[in-house]
Amino acid sequence: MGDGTGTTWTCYDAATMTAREIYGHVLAELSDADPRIVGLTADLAKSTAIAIYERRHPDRFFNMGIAEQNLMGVAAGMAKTGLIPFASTFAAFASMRAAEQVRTDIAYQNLPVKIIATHAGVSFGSAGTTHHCTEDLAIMRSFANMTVIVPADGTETANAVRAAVDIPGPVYIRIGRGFEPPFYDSEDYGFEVGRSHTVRDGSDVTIIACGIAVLQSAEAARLLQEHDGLSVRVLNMHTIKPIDREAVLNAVSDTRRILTVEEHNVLGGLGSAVSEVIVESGKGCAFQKLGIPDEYSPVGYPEDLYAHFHLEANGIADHVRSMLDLEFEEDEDWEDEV
Amino acid sequence: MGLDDEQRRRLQDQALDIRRDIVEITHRSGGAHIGGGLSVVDILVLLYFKHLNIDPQRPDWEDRDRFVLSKGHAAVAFVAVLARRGFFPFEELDTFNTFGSAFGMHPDSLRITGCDASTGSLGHGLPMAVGMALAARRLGKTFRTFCVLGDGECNEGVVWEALMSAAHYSLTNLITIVDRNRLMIDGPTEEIMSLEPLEEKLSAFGHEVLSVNGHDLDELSEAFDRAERVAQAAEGKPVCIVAHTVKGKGVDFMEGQVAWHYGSIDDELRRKARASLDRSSGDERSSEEVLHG
Amino acid sequence: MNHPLDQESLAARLFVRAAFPVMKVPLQEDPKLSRSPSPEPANVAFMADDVSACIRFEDGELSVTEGPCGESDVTLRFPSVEAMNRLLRGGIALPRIRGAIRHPRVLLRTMQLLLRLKLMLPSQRPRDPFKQYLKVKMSLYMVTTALSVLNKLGDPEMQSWTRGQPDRIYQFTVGSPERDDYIAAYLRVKNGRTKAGRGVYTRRRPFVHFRFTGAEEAMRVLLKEVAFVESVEQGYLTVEGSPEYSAALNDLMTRVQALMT
Repeated sequence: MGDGTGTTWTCYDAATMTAREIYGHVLAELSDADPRIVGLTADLAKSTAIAIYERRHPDRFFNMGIAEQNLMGVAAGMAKTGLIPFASTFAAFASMRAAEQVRTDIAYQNLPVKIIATHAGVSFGSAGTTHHCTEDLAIMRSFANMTVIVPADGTETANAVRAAVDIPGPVYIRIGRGFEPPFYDSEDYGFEVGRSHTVRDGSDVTIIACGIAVLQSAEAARLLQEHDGLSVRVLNMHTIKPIDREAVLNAVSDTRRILTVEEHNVLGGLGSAVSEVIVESGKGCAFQKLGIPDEYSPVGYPEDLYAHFHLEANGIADHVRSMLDLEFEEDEDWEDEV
Repeated sequence: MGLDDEQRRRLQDQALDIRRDIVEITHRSGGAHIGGGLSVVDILVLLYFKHLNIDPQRPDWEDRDRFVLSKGHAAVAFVAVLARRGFFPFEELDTFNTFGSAFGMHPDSLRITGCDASTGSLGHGLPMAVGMALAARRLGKTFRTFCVLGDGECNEGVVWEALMSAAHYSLTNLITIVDRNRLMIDGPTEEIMSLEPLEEKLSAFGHEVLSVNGHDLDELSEAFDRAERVAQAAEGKPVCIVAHTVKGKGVDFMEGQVAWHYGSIDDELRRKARASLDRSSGDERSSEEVLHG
Repeated sequence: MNHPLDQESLAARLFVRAAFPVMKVPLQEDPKLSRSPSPEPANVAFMADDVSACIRFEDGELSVTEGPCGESDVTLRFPSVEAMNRLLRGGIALPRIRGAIRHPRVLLRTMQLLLRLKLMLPSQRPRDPFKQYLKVKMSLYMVTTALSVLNKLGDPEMQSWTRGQPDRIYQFTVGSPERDDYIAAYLRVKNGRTKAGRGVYTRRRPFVHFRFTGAEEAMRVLLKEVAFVESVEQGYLTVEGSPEYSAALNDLMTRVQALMT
């Protein structure tokens, strides 16, 4: 750990800008223009890369030590006094250790605190379950006033951070450990909070994904087209709350088969949010959720864990194939209408 | 500096009025945290009627002193103080505890004019107060932030996280007050989860601790004066005032009684409570004059 | 299935199951037919080799089932399937008719409707807009049903096309929905199964949607007066969806038309 880069353990080539580094740079830039922005962390400046921000704006950065509840309470107090605090720590601590502060101090008082939760899902790999977080979307979704965003890559994180400043209330942005592969080439693909991005259009089945699953789903769609001749729609549902109901309903009426993919428990996250829209619409739709199947993860490199949980292109493609056999009750009549 | 005789008498009358208000509200609304409300009255009165730099006409004034009632269940006392100080008409308190009211067991900052933070869940207030003090530093403002904690509340670990960070950041513009009435819901603090030696702990956490009688307006006022000097000098340690109080102060049958942490008062108890308050003050004015005057 | 006799049997069965039912269209919509008094309930049997059909008239409506009638009021027996097919392709064939004396109006109505089927022949190129509308409607109904029947009868080419497909809709529409002369029919395909449908399938977006601007344009395309590619360029038709699959479908439709015209 003595390499000055905080708690990292990757074997990736870190030359490419990673999600959390982009976040640190973007935040520093935004702070140049907006004096209300400040940064805070709970002894994870280097690990969450908000240290980049710290170097640029040392007088606007506050390390609260290993005290996440205090971190969020302090952020709330600052927001009460007219600042826009960006508070960064690991997702497990932001969403669980400090859950009550996030809900009672920040969400209940509808304060402009922007929480950047890193190392979400199982991206912390061999750090194990104590440092994983596959529950944060379920928790944050249940707090009124909260906006919940899961960027697909570093570029999207930059978009999300910029957009967060303009959202009047609290925002929860969850990213991985920062070495996720880039997905978007530029920032101008049409990022809008509350609207999904259609990565690929199609009519046989829809995959709705967020975070790292977006790239994997796009890849799966390509495989399914080439090998199986399938026309697969892929939606990047980066905003879990408020969810893009219209896009989900369109997917229901255009394709009638939806698979959700997320680095989160299948209970309570993106899949649950999408299923709520489907069921409330009253329309028939074949539906499956792919994610962490309500269990705690084994230890391993994240790539191995993703393969284990089928959160990669091949696993996703297999699930899509199995969905295509599902039939609806009304559609069992194969008599020609003459 | 302390108080001159005229100030002292005025503040004592003010405190008595607030205690009467608490009894009335509790009686009318079906119940309130009357014990902890009564113990904190003198602190609140001294702050809101002498030491806080505030303006009821400009409740959102950027440079106002901030106040966080971390022991949010004392809202019954707090809102009476805000009303009497002129933040909103006193009659609005008639809705206390009724459906849709802004006033209930705990204060709602989004709906009560003059309330700087929504509190109620113990331990949340001091971190927010730390945030306000840090923000003041960041914005180059000289306002002070006051935070009143309950002593049972100090069981919560996050309180100590906040105290630690206040000392670390030398937040001399933050003044913490502990309402040390020595009782919690299930019994005396020292039997349930002992805090002693509290002053030593607070001192070890890097604060300048002032231990005073929480019902002696002169002692309290001197402590606040000391805190103001520290704030102006902006050096040294943050001040933490341990105010030794009596839960239920002013109503003899409630004083020091665990059972009166939260309670309701019927007509008979109201009469007894008012009588006790009248006796304790030696007030010349009749209860009726205070109510309607 | 390549034996010529089998092809004729196949064609005959396609006529019975796909062409005969579209007689409903002129029956319901041609004023000359729908205004004249309908005959009393009656069964009309068609027979040719081992292919048979039963057309039932009742309450001004018509229903077609493949197979013998049981009891029939009028019977048309063809010497062979080729003879029946020849007649239905616009040629001459003389069936032995029984029941003509007892049920003249039934026979008359049957012949009138058979004649109307001729409108679908390539030689028929009406200029009257109403006739164009009838021709296109009957043709689209017939083609979608014929494709489905062809698949259900186990035709290898159809089967290999339908087998690999997940749930897909091939939609045909002519004109726009607000108008009275809107025509819509579809073919639903899934894992080797097919269903011909009327109207617009609403449960999901079609995999391929052939949108004809109007009946005349559709007719020109069906008559192959305009090549497929040109028809899109000219604006007669827009095709939304997979180009490979629309081309494949086009080939299958051509084959069906060849069998039946």
